[in-house]
Amino acid sequence: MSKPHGILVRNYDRRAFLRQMGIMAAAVGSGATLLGACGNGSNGGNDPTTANGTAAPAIGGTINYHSWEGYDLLDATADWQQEHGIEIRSSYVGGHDDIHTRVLSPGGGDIDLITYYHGYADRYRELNVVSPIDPGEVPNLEHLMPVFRDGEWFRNDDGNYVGIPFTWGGICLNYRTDEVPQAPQRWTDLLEPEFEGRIAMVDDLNGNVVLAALILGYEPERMTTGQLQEVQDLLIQFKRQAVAISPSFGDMNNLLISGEAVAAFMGWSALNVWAAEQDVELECVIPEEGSLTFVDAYAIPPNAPNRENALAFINETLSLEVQVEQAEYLSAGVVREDAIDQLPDEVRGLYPYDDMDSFFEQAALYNVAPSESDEYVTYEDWTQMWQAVKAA
Amino acid sequence: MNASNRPGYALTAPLVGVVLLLVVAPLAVFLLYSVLTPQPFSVQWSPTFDSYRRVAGERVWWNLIAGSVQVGFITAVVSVVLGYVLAHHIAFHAGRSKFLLLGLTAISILGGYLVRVYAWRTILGTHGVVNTALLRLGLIDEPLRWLLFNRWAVIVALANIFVPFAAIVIYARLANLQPEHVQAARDLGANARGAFRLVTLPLSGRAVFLAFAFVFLLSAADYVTPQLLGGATGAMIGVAVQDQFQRVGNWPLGAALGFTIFAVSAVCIAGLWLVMRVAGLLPRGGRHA
Repeated sequence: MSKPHGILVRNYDRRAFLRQMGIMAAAVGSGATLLGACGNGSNGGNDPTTANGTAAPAIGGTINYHSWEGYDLLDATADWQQEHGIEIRSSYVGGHDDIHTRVLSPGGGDIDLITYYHGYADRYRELNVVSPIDPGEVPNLEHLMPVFRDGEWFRNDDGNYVGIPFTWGGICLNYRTDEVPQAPQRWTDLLEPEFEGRIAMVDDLNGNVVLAALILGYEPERMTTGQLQEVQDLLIQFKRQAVAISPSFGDMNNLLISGEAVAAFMGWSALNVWAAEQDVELECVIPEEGSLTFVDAYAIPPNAPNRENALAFINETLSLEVQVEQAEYLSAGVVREDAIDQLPDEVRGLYPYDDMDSFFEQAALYNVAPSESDEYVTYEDWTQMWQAVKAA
Repeated sequence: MNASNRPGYALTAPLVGVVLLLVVAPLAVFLLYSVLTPQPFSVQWSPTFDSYRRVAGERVWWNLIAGSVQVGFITAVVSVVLGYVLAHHIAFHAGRSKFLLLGLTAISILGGYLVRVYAWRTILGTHGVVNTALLRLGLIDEPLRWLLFNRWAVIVALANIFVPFAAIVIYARLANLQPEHVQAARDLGANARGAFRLVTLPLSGRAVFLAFAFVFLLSAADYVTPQLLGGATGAMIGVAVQDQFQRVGNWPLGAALGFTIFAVSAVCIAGLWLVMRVAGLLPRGGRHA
């Protein structure tokens, strides 16, 4: 038999054939074993099987975080990450809307962990940005102050959570003590001539609308078209007093520190701490018309590839040590009562922890407008109104 | 297509493919979205022109578009004038410093966009370089607050960014002008100014047009500089488009706004072409100069 062109033909017999099959079988078997040892890349390194044979949540691998820089608490959880073989891969946002935009965009299914503030809770439920979390999956929940643990925003009727609160903050009227000798008593004091071109505003739709509604005595999430028009007119008045509408609180802080602005409409208590680092003294007051508070929560998008890692991380952030560290790092509030006494003075002094009930009466938590309503203005109405304010 | 052109077409085919894939296709998708029914952060595949009706009927968008066109136009004028002066100097008067100046112009483009924008805050701010200098010189008693946080600050910052672009585009044309044309004009009695007006400027008209269009389109659509330097009155249409996609989730309206701006910009550019043609700055033909 002649040799086929270009092909080397061995002397092939039955023994050679069987030997080849054996090699192939061994190769296939070892390959499968190797693949199994490598794991699926997300939970590798831990035996997923418990002693009784049931699968236990194994952690280790990565957490893909997408939200505010700082809220990933990289330093505060560094030891925990190392102990459990977890790497947090963070992508940061410039505004709150970047959070759900990323999750809802094609390819957003790789996100394990986000944060959001309470006002978005209903909206995020509707948009399916968040997934339910059984309270048993986050044992440290039991240590939270009741106002945070039992708050209605993040809990479903079935008792599951769609967000785990981990920090909070208060909106207030910041002002420079060296430029404003007397503390403003009302938000509308900022409309006086001495503040013309000297106040800072921030491009935060929800906070500005809620605040303007409070000043006018309206319920923010239940406004009529006419009331929203009044809110618009009021915000335009404040805008005419403003030096700029900052894209972020950080930029607002820069304006206060540089002296371009001497007071802030819809400021934040944390600005006091940041400004002090630049030797600028700010005070923060809650005017007579009241203000608002925000509570931020961790949440897990549906189809998160590393859900167990994210749950373990969330639980860790509610530990006593991490709560204290995050409050100091973020100049923010703690959600555990036992953390309060361990806070540094300048951080504990940001909020009246000894009378939280009164504080929340002055600066309550408000929802944003509904997505749909026959009776009240919707969130899209808010958005278009804010566009009109910015364009005015 | 004749046989002599086939190699040319074949060579440009990859570029055409890239343009089709990366420019035309996304724009086509964008255009499709603009005529669909909005859902929060999604669309319903039900065609409608409601988004365009909203853009046409709601005054807020036209206020923003008008402001954006104004900023774009002024920035382009300033950038092209300054860029032309720079390019002309490099092309005809720089001598041995030509390549150094050209290099510096190119390097200046490499500076980070946000760094430049924030730098203008430091320069124009109440306690910035300009005010500090004026106060120390005794020319003013109080800082000039109007230098920053208005539309003019935006124009200054954008012009600072785009002058080098305009200069390089115009220089590329000026460097290829045949000096014999200018010499001929001088020989026929034109002085330096006349030779520039009658020969150099028309022959570089297309580059001027191109530089103007480039700067105008990018400036009018900018949405970062207005937020950082524009103050309370510097809002431009780019931010509104961004809000529709990020904040509201009304993609069709955002897309409709985008194409409206595209149409307005096209009208502006076409108008510029017409004006320059009437003014004799875009002579017909003129492939060889």
